[in-house]
Amino acid sequence: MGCFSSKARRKFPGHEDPVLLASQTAFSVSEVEALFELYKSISASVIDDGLINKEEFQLALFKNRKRENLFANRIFYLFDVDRKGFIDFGDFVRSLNVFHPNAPQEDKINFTFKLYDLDGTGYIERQEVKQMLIALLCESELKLTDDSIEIILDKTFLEADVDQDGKINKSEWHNFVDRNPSLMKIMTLPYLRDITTTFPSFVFHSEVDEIAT
Amino acid sequence: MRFTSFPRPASLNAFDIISFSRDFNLSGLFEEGTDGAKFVSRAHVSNIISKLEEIANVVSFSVRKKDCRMSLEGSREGVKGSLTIAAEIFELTPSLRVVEVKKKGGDRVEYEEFCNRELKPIIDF
Repeated sequence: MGCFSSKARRKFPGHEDPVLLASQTAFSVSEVEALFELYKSISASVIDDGLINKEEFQLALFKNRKRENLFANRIFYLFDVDRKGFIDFGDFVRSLNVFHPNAPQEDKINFTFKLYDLDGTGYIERQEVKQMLIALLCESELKLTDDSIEIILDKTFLEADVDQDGKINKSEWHNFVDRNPSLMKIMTLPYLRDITTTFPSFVFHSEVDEIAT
Repeated sequence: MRFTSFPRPASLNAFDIISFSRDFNLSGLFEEGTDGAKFVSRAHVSNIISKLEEIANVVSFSVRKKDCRMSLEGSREGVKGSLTIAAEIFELTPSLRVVEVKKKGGDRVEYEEFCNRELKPIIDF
């Protein structure tokens, strides 16, 4: 009894019981197990220690471990719930859960607020939005002049920053997202609903059932 | 007398653009391939649409369009079906439009060739 758990725990320090994780998230037990397959391959890609470090996360996201960038850093930071410097399996499942189609909209909106509040002051400041825009433009094929950037910022803050104090607070953000629901599109990964079919190459059977019998 | 209303593009704000970031796309964890190309253009929406229709004509692709969305479909059936490309036009600022181009069907190599051969040369349209 508990053979699977303790064997997995030895190799994967962050491993958690799939049944427990399934009960706390929108994933089913077999979906958590499918995520574990994904987690195993990501966590072994640079250092085979059962944990996902920043390089491995970057590699998994865009196949390029040298590519430091603002967003990968922010997302890693948010996935690494206790600021340990790495993502364990529990972090992985709970963070991906926010992107599940069935996750509460509230959680998705809060995630994006934290994501864009670069310095964690509790406000999304104009300067932060400018910084993200510039970072994004550097990495993409879009080329914009400084003037265009200012026009876009003006337009955005005119709509979002209702009390016109130069920054967007949480409640302004919620209202802004309500009026612009397409902003939440990035917070849902439809494949998370069918994750067991997303990985047809993973032929696995439920170890949980094995323990039960 | 026939009235044609100009298609009205959706207006993008700073956060829309930020979400375009390929890096803020966790689907990279699950799938291969790029998301789609985006170009900035000073041209009016109607001119962009005409230009894309022109390209489609040259390569004998059929065009379907609705508002600011277009679908260009090739006739040559490949193993992966005919090449289908979707284009959507957004407004960024009063003087700038963004055109987003994505592959909707067909072979990836053929799609990339199409983008390089037909689209890139006229990018600043």
